[in-house]
Amino acid sequence: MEQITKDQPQRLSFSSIEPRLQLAWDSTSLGALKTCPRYYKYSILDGYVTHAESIHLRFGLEYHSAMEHYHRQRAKGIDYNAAVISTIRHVLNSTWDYKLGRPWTSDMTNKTRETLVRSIVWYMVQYKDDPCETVMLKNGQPAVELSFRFELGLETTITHEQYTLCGHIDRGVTFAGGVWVKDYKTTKSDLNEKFFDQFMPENQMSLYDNAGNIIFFEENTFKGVIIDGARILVNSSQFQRQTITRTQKQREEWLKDLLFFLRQNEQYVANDYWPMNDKACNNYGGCPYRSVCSASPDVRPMILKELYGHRSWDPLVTREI
Amino acid sequence: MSEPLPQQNPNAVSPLSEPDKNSLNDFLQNRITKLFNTPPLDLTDNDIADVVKYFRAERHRFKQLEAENEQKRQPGQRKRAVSPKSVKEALAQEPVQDLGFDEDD
Repeated sequence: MEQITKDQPQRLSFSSIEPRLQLAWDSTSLGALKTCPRYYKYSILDGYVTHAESIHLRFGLEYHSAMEHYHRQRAKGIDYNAAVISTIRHVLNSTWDYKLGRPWTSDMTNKTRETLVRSIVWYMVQYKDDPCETVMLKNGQPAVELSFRFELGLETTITHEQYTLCGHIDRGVTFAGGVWVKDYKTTKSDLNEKFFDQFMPENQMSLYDNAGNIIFFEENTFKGVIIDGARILVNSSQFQRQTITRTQKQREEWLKDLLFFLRQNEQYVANDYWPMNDKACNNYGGCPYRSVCSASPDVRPMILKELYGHRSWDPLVTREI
Repeated sequence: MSEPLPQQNPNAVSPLSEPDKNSLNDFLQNRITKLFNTPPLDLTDNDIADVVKYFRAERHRFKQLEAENEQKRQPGQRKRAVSPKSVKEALAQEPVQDLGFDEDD
């Protein structure tokens, strides 16, 4: 297996003393660790990514970026039609490869440049008169793509550095007399009860709920998370929203559990070994590293090198396309 | 993946001709396809408005076909999905002038 060494560029979210020890945790890295320590190693520590994952990631980032652009424009008081034009220009620009002189291409039929633009247009039509209004922060900026970071008040046992939780909230909104954290989710699945049920309990939404409770604490009206679901198919896009709330005791329980996972990770770091959770291999249509883990350990480095691309996951770095 | 974009040329003129046929099919084939393959910095706001118009029309037709399918559905029968082909075919019969930008779908 390839090792994270001190020769590799320092990632801000990792300890400078022990480069394999993550200090700043976002929902993606924490979710990976909770799912399977080996999955965490391959995806977060080593940064291996499949071709399919990179398309999902690119599509998701473009979708989020368009939403951010649109809601910033609207929060600035820009007229609806002008904001729509500006947003579509932003999407077309962002998905054009100026070096190669051609648009971004994808071999996934439901996640193409066309389905992306269509989805953004359909979203803006459906929510033209949006009952969710963007929260304006005290600094006068809209609460859109809001980066957060807060210390957990917990030191690592290995390096005695502080752990932090971090991430990016898509949008803070007011709705039904309260403040909510809005999170965009694109999917191929039906936006039914089963779809929304998966977010309660769920790691990412628990983290955002905790973050929202801290960020919007002063308002004293923080309610929870709104899932802004987008079902993206080859010929249509559908949208559905649902609120998800947690009690203060549920928030505390999630934080308590988190500490156990962080301590567990310290054991993996100390042993330089992230074990396989072979009960998670078939989750969500199958783990992207199944072909690696199903091979003999001695040939895995070769499979990883040959079949996977590379990215550097650093939660403290701002989300970029 | 993020790189600074070159400045947009304020004098850029849309290289694309206005649709010269009456059906949306021509509009789609001759204009939208070209717009999607044109560097975005060369697109005028009117070009972008046409992209928006097209997708709004597509949504409108999709919703109509979905409602028609729902009306035809017998009790106990599964919901029928609208096929991509039927949306394109229905759009092909729409006159271009029906695609108002300010309409509420």
